[in-house]
Amino acid sequence: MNPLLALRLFDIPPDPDDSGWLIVEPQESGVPIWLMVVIVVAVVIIVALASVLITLAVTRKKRNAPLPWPQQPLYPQQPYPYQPQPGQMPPQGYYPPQPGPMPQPPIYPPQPPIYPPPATPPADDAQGSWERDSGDM
Amino acid sequence: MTVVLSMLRALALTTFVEGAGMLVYVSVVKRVRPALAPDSRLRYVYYSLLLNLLTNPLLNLLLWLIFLAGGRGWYTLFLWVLEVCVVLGEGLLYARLCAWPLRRALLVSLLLNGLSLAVGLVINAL
Repeated sequence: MNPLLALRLFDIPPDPDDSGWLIVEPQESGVPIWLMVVIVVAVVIIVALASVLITLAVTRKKRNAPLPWPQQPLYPQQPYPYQPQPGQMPPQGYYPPQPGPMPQPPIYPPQPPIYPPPATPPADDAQGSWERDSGDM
Repeated sequence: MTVVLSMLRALALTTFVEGAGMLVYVSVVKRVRPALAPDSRLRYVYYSLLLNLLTNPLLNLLLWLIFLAGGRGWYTLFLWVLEVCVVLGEGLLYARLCAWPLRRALLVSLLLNGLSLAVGLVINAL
């Protein structure tokens, strides 16, 4: 809003030699009270709406802004690999890496295939049949 | 009802003039120093609209009430006092909304309100 628009707003003719700024001139206005109340309420609603929208815009701006400090991890980072000090117990569930090459899985020689056992007759039956056979001969 | 229509007309005119001024300013800044205007142009025009929505009806209402109560003398005095308040308030809010330094934001606010004044001078001369 600029002053001249404001002057036009209320149909006030611009005064070229306006030297009486502090002169109070009470005026009789023909504006009904209800209209004044309506205007005041409307302006309050508009201003409240604008305030909410501005607050939302500022909040959005803050949310999208990068943090002014470098991001730190939530907990102090565990040094890795863990180096146990003499007399210090490693944390529970921690297995320190073993020195040397990684252990390889054992290499087993190839196993012969497992066949079912040969079908042999019972020992007493074989013996008997032998004896029977030899006797018959 | 004339008062209401006049307020709406003043709000629309001021919003249009300052929005256009903001659009031109942001376009220039984007060309010269893009880091100062990372958002879209429409976003800055929207900020201008929001600030005018906040200050313009309030200013007009206060001026109207002052005019009804005190007449021309108080009106002219408060007109300039409130204008300065508007420039300062809009500058502070531009600094928050646009993430500009306060000095730049106040300068932009003064520039836009000055543009509005210039347009008012032209309209008044017609």
